[in-house]
Amino acid sequence: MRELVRGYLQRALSRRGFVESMVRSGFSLAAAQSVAGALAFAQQRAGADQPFTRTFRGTGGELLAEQLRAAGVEYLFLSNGTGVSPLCDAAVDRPDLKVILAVHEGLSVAMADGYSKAAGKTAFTMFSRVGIPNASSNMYNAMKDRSSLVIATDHIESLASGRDAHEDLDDTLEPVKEYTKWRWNIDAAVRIPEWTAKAFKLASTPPGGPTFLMFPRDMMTARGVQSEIYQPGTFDVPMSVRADAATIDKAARALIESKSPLILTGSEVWRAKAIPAVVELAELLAIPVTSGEQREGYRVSCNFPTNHPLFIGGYNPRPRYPRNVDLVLSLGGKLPDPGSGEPLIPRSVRIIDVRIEASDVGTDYPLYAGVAADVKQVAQDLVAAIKSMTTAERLKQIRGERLEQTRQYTTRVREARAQAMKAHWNDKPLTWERLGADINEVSERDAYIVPEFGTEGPKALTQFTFAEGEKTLIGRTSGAALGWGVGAAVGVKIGQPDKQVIAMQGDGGFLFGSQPMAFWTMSRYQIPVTTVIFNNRCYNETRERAFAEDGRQAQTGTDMLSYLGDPDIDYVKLAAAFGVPGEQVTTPDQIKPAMKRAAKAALDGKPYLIDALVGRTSSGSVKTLYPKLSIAAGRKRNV
Amino acid sequence: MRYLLLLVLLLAAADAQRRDEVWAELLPPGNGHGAVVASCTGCHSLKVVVNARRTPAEWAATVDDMIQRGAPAFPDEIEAMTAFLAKSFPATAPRLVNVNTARREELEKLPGMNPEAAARIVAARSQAGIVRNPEDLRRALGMEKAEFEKILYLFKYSD
Repeated sequence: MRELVRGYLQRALSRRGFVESMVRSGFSLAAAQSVAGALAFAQQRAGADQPFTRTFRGTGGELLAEQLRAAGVEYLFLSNGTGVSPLCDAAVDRPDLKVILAVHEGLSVAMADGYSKAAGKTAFTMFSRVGIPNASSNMYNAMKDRSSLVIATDHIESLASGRDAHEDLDDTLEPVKEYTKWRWNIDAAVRIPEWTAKAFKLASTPPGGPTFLMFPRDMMTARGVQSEIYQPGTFDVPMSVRADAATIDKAARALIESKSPLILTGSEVWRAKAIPAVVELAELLAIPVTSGEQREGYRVSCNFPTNHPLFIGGYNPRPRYPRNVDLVLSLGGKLPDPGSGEPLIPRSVRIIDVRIEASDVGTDYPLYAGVAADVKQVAQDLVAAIKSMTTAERLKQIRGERLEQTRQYTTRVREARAQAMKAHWNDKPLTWERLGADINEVSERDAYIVPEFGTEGPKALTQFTFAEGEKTLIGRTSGAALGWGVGAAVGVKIGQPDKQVIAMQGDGGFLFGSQPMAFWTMSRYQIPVTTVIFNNRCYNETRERAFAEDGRQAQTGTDMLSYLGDPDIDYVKLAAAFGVPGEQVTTPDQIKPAMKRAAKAALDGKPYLIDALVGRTSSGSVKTLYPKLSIAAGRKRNV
Repeated sequence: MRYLLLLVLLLAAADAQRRDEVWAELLPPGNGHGAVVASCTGCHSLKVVVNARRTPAEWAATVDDMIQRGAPAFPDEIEAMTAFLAKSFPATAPRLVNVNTARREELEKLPGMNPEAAARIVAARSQAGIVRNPEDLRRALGMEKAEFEKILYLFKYSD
């Protein structure tokens, strides 16, 4: 396909010839026409009378900078490394390339990830090659989320590589293989623009994903290199791929016939801006909708309005409602992990799986219909097909009592939640739900919420309304490697500077990676993010699971792994060390005033930290016993 | 080889399902039973419930907490669920004893048990290798169902 696209873009192939070749390669006519349309759009954007490339002469670093500009890059998310300097030299005279310095490579990637998600753009980050291990947990998160990132490092001189020498490995690309969609070692300075453009094209073309470039030092410092900069619009490929009509008809017919359908939604819905189309489809047949994640969890985004009467929360493999599901329409997300026991979607259920990520359609389930296409197009096509197959009377009949039943179910579940919350409204330490409810109430209606929680998270997150015109959720990542949230929130704020951004972070997750150092970047560049630490001095999820297993820890009341008190960390002092003001909140009446002070700080362009002491819950929650150990006491010499 | 692997996976899946069913048998009947099953099993096995021991206040907090996490309970069920759990799994109740690994002396000391019954359990598990579920145990003990009910909630069949 790559050859065909190249041929078409270089005008060696006519549109007709391109479509016919695609069909011969196994693509449907509709898909081939759709891709041809997208490519034509890209060509049009480039401008028929504009050159596709522009000649530029300079250093390798300058070639990279020029290509980044052509890619629409505004921010360089950098961490320190000598080999990054040639790019920084180029940035000195290019003030439109703004440097955001992070003091840890994992933070650089998290910031770029948050920025990419919030701004809807492909982000660029660069650091030293020895920072790859530091960066890898958030590279993994970015890969799992299919985030559009171009990640770059320096590299040892071309003629010295592959000798396990200073800061080198035999194969430095190998460690990033699983975390990147495509990777390349630049071995000709003249081709820096070409490979950079390719990295952007592959990272941004749906389903997206990080790409990786390695720049040997001699490539970056080479002088007087003449090359061609790919012009804007010549290396992006909009992918509004449509499904073939027969599959749409088959799926539409099945939806009409289904007695108890269910829609699962994934992050492709959010990315493709398909939420209104999915709402229209769900409403047309009154189909209940879940987030696609188990329980109330979210991974990347919220993909359906949480205040909609058809939204029933997280996917429940043993649902209370709807019962006897006979059809699952999964839109733009990974199907629930089949697990090791009974599959989470029973074998008797018809599954229609729609993904732009063709290789992941169906996961490991047998499918009634698999559709590799743009989720927005599919939702719109399904609406049109259903309308063309049915009369208004029949649609009314299908909707029947389903809408009312779903509304009653969601209303009763939400009432139970409100009732349960009321019983603990004034608890001290705070409940997660009270803290979430108060933050929701006093924050901006259209604030961005960036959470990083474990199993306690839904208690706070269900207090928010995530919908068009309401709040937007970004996180916690589908990879769930902790150490992402606060860095990502920095990137979100840079991507959405005119929106309030609140990082909500469990204390356990906050201590992973290098998160506290994100305060340094916030402080230096006046990035007014409010960080709220839900501090229960514990990894609640792991303790809860360990104690539920009723093993020796539960039997003896010993928490070997999860209790984080002793010492009790003073997060206010920690933030202050980076120049970020903050306060501790211990009682419910302190939450709103603290949030207002955070908003005031944001008004003045300053970040703020709230260290909120929340309770531990569930199995073993009162246990703080851990095996005491003093290395000092065991010394033979007190030195 | 591929078929052998498939067979192993299928057997493992069937085994996991059977174990879940056994835990469900250890949830006593009563008002609130249905709501507990409907609300709790979407996220976790009933093993978590039947192994728990809590005071009424702790059960109330747990039920409220689980509802916040997404347990699909209804408002009029909260009280009944809490009362059911507090009655079935109070803080004072002994921990479940694994019928397949407990020592004979441990079995003898349980309420409603005696040396003869303990010996039968030991004989049953050494003969069959494993006592899989309450019905296996009842047969090994030669008890009528009504009589067996009195000791049913003392035992578990795996960890």
